[in-house]
Amino acid sequence: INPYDYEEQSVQQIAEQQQRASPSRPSFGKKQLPTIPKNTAPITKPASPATTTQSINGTHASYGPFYLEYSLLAEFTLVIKQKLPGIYVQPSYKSALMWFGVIFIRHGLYQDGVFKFTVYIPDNYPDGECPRVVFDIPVFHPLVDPVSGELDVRRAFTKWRRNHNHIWQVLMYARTVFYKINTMEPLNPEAAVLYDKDVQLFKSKVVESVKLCNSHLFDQPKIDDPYAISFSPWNPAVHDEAKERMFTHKRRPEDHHKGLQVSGLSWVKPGSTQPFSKDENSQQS
Amino acid sequence: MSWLSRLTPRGPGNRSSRTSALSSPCTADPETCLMVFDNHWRQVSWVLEQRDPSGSSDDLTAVRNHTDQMLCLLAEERPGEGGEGADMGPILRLVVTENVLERVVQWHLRRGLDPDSQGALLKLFEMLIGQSHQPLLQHKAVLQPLLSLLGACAEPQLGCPLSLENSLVLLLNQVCVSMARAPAVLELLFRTGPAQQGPTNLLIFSLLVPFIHRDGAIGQQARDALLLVMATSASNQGVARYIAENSYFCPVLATGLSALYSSLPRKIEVRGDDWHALRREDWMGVASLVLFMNSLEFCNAVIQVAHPLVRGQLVDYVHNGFLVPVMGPALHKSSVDEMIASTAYLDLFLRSVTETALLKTFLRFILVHRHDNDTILDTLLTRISSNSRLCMVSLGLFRTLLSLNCEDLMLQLVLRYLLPCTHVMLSQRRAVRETDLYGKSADKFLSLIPECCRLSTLPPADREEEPAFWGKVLNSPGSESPAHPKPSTPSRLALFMRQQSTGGNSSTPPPMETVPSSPRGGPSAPLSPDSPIHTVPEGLDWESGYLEYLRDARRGIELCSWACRNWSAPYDGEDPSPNTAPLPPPAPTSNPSLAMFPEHFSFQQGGGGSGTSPGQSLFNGTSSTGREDGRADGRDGGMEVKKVKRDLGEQWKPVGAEQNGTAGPGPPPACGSLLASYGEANRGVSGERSGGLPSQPVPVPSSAPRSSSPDMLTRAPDPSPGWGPPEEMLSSPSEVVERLISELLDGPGQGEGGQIVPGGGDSNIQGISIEAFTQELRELEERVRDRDRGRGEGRAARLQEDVTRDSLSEEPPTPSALDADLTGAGGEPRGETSAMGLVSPARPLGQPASQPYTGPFMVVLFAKLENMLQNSLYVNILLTGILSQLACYPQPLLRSFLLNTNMVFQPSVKSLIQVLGSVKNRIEAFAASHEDFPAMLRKAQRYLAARSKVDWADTSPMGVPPLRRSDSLVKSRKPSLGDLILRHTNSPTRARHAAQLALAHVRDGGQSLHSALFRGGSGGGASGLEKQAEALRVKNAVYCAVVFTEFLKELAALAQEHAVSMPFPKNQDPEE
Repeated sequence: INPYDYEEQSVQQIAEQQQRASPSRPSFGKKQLPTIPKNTAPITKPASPATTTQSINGTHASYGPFYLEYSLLAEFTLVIKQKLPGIYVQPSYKSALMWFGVIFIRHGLYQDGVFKFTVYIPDNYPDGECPRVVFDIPVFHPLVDPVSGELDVRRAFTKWRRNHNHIWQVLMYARTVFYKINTMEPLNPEAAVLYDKDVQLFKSKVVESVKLCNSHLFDQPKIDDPYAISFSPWNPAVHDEAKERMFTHKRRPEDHHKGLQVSGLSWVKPGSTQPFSKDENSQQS
Repeated sequence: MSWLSRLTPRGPGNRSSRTSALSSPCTADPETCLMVFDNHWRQVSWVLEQRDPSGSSDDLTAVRNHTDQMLCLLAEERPGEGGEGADMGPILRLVVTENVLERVVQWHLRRGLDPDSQGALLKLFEMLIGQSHQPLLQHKAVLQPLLSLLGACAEPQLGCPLSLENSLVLLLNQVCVSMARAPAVLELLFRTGPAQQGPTNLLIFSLLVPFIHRDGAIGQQARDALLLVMATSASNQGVARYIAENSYFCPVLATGLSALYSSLPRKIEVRGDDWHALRREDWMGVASLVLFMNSLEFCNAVIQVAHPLVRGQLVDYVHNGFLVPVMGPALHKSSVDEMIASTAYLDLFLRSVTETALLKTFLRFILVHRHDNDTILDTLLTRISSNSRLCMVSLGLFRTLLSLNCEDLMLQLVLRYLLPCTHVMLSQRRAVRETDLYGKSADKFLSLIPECCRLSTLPPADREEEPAFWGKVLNSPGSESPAHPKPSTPSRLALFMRQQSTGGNSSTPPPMETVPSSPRGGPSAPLSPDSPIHTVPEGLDWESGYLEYLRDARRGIELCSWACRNWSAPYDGEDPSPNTAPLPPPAPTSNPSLAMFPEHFSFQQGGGGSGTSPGQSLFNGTSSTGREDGRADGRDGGMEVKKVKRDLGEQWKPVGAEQNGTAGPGPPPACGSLLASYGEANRGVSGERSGGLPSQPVPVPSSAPRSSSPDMLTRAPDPSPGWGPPEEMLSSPSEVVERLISELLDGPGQGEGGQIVPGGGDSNIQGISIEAFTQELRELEERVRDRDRGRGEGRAARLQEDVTRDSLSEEPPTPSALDADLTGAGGEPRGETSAMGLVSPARPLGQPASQPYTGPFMVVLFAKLENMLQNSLYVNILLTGILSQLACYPQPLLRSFLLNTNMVFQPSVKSLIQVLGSVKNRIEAFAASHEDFPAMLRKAQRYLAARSKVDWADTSPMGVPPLRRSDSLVKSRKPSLGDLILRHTNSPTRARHAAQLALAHVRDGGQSLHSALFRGGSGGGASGLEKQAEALRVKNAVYCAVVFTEFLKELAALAQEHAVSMPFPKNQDPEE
């Protein structure tokens, strides 16, 4: 599945908006992260002259940008494969290091909450700190900074270990905090104290906060980016068709129409490792 | 369904011109017509009622004239008005009630049918059925006489004279066309057999079958007609059973392939160095091959439309009547020419077959059938290690096989060896599923690009060409959106480019930035399409296209995982479980038929003691790799030369005249023994048929033998014009050099006009083939060696004999298999499926099965790869193409084996990265010993780029496509460099143009590529012979360096793309 399709299939309101607003994907393949940020200083730090001279005798070192983008793209692919419930992300058009996301809370204290957030990935990924998650609107939550909206991710990933830690885990964590409230060392002490001392008041504050967030749902995205997630009221003229397309969409190889008549050849019986072990009659003719 | 659609327009009206000659159409009103008809009929019936049927010729003439008029009237008649039942026209009604036609035909038959009347009747009926405005065949009064007439044609004593065959087939075709329109007729035809023909005899069918393999229009009409019957009967169990059980259709069709195959050229004349597979333009001019392909296509079409019963039977007959008895032995012929031809044919067949059932039969034959104890697959595998064209053709075949994405094939070829996971360290098994998340493997591959091939080694003067990178990025259709300005160059990517061009010093503006509005020109400035950046500069546009490699890798992986989506298991190291997987056959230790013949070629003459078996030397490869560049294991030497000699056995002949530009003497004598064995195979087939089947002789296409003898392929002048007697060579080394230069200049694919010789062969003999030259050099080497020392030969010769004898011994097809299958029609051939996989194909000689072994395919590919420096350019392109094809497969077992560079394998298992590392060392050692290497490299790059560019440009409009799968085949390799070269023979003129273009640069530079290439290496006082050998060695090595570098980029891109690819859900598209 095209990662974008995945997102589109799930968040219908976003999708059409997206499709109209965003420029067609740059360069090759829809699946790729935007190769080329435009008009902005790329968040990715180009290899500094110093590192360049160091790696002068290794041409392969100059493939570095490809590695970073592919690493992030691979992370994104992992996210898609995880099929995290209620979480949707989309890398920014301008930089592969910035992902836009939205999280739907389906039950619990924060039920019906729709929280938009942005993931910032350090440019020395995967060797740096863990990615940051910042909510567009500071949700009332012990682990969310009431001013900046930043979620305390670091407590769960004290040391970011490549190969072991993945961005989907961060997203998973961002979802979990709304179901299992933790009040230790809070970024929002008020919320923490309330939760421990006066759950009823905490609950009403949360409901208020959810209402506030949802009331800003149709606001323009905080960050101006063609791939930023934006919501709009349901417009049948636009969204019905898009929805239809999403449900009927089937992923195919990009140019599979040419030269791929015979495919999927297999006469191996499942469970067997012998060629032509499949029962002749069971084959579809 | 192209066959059927092609048929439909062939309706009535088509031959109106012919009918108008018969008689003038009657345009009068129906009543008048009826009166006229009645009038004719009264006169005819008067004659018919005469006592003496063998009456005067006047009678005959009268009857014929009247019948002509009558039938013409009948054909012209419009159906009557009114309801369903009353839609017969008045004439037809009269014909039916009076049984007119039957009486006429019976009169003729009683009288004794002379060919003249027979022909006239056939034509009359054909006209009638083809032209009639009302359906006629469902009336017994029409059908019965038709069948009587046809029955007469089928009678042995009367039969159908040659001169009438055309009319007969045309009539039958016409009947089938009407039948296809009104399927009910089929049932009638089926039930209304004339009594004397026995019960339920589908006469039409048995009359058509003998024409199946005819060439020309008559064969085509017969096949069309039969196909219509097939399609119409697809849902008719009774007819299908009749066809399968009472007709000779399937055996004739399948064994006919055998007969046709035996008339194919046994030797394919090849001019282009790069030729490795038969393309349509190669075989369109070869009558016998066209004939075969027609029949094969017909088989394919029948299998597509026919009833499952017929389909199953035909498929079995193809297997047991063609593949096993004919194709099997053909692939095991002892002469290299025949091996090449049969391999190329098999490849062509595989590419042409589209029906899954037929493809399955071919694959089962290749994977499961054993010829002399070895599967066909094993035999084909060993050919990869040969030195010659045979290697290229075999690689071409495997490329075709791999492109099928067939699980069974991949299982036998590679996966079963990887399944037990014994090739990885136990602790590493979990890593099998890991992908290259952070570009580690990619980085490792790229780090193997030899120092000497890095762009930074190029002097700045050569850098003004701007790599096409920008153009490609910016030109991509995706970035054309008006809403947002095109993303201009991001600094990091810009840096990436600059690093490449300036050796990393990004503070000094690289020369390319003198180009106006270059990427540097500010991030907000969108580039106009006509910016100079969009014009791809000459020459080096393939150089840095890593993005292109990524794009290609993505497409390759995506297509491959799409094609593999219905495989039975993921092959991820867990499913199927490594513990339950059957142990694959172990590595052969001393099986001569699997021996490797590395393409080494060495001037170190110290290697006389050929004591080790070739197989061993291969497996010891790790220790010898990287030892010293180009210094092949000497112990292979003696043996290898023998091999070459054997390869050349038949081709070798003294050629003197070629250098003067005249054609050499005639073709080498045809090998009579082969003819004999082909005949034997066929005899075997028909003999067995008579055992289990109705004993009608198999109709052998009469035209086939005729067309084969004057065949251009066998008649073509000597294939390797470069051959010259050594003395001559020794006397004029400069001439050889000249010829090599002109070879490059002319390009292998030069030559004009309608030559049938594959590779666009040219008739002026001056183009020396690199390959021929290689072989020649080896012969010379051998002579030198012979002179120097005569020892060490004996053993090699003995071994060699073994090999030869091994491949020579062929047996006639075993009757039992065939019989068994004939009795159980539709069933799988028994006895093969049960035992396979359990018996080692390689006849292991007591080696402990515990030794990890990745299978002969990987071993032979890696051995060939390790030898890259000595391989010819084309071998390397094919070889790397196949490896990258393999690396596209998404199955973690295979992917991790090839692409995971962090994986730790068992010591006895060689990894791709190890092999590549050793090649790298050899290239660097080579470069270090040749001071002009950079210049040579650059020139080789330019040459290849220019050659490919010209070729690449012409892909779309009228390019290759004819073979159905050619598209994917042809593009299986990176376009920027590789297979363009393989395809250039397409357009000889363009290839020539490309070469000239490339060499124009070279000439401007003041020295030709070849003089540059030749300068290196040869020490003073070296003999001319050594100089030539050195020249070739240098040339191969320089091209190798270019291909190797690109290959590493390709592998890196594949490793990266695997990490971001998404699997396709299983069975997503049942309709696919």
